[in-house]
Amino acid sequence: MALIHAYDLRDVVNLLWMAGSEAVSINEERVVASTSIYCVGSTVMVNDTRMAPPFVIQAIGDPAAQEDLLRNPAYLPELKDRVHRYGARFDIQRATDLRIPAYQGHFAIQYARPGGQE
Amino acid sequence: MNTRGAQLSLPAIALLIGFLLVAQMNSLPGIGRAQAEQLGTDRTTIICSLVESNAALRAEVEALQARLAAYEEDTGGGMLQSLVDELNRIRIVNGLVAVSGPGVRVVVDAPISVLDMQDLVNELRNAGAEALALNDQRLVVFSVVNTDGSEGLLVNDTRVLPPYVLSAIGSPNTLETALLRKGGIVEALRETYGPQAVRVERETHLVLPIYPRPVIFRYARVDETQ
Repeated sequence: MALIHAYDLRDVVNLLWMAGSEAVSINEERVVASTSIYCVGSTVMVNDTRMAPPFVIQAIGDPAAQEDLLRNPAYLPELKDRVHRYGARFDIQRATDLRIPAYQGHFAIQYARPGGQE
Repeated sequence: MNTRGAQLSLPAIALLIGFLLVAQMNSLPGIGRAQAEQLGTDRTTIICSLVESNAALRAEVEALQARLAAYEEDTGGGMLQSLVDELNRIRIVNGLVAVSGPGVRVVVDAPISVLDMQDLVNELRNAGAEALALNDQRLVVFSVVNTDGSEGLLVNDTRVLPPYVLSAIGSPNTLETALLRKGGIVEALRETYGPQAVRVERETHLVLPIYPRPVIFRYARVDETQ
């Protein structure tokens, strides 16, 4: 059983958006509106790309705000507990020049139409 | 006398030259006319064919120019259309416009946790939801489902209370199947919160609101090196 679950990644990403992040990626996958972070067997699928640990999540934004939320004991309690108990790595590093890749997929819109009315 | 002899010889020479000239003149029409006629025929033929091919080329140039103009016009229109389509996709995906379309409505009449709501949203995204809203809050990439420990959930910093109504535009069949599959999210939620906690309804016409706030980028810049 994987130590890091898809929902852990979702929770981290959610927290990063909460901290006002402007762009987020998991490994080489940009997180966009259609992104799902899904558990597939022992791997995690992000934007239809399977990936395994280590997961490197990058987020462009205010480093202080991001770090405050990530280190806040009220958030990510399950993940932090597992890190504490099983020795998984959960490192937070500040960076001054992150490069977040573009979304490689396509926004296939087949059903949604712009405008609220017919 | 010598001089006279010499003087007399001049007409002779002149005559000879005249004869030679005449002889040559006589010979010229035979060859010359034939050649001239042949030349004329060739030239006529050549000129005719040049005129014809010039006309053909001119016609071809005109045809190609017409096709080019039509192509440019068509490409311009095609490019414009694809740009409009792309803009609409971006507007839909990022909640910059209200959207309508078929899909499913998931009604959760239970105080489910933040993580459960995130899982439900994730499941709908995974099943190809093109646009999502929770109660009246459009869900975009920046949307956060959160709790402050008080009642209900916070979505886009707005409090929403049960029954949660999650609307997803997309293929109703795919979305419904993904939600209701054995061992899926709805089954899990019903196990946790009771068999009546979650209802999935197919919809032919959902209307989702716009994401109400502008997105301002203060830190992120386009990376031109990529």
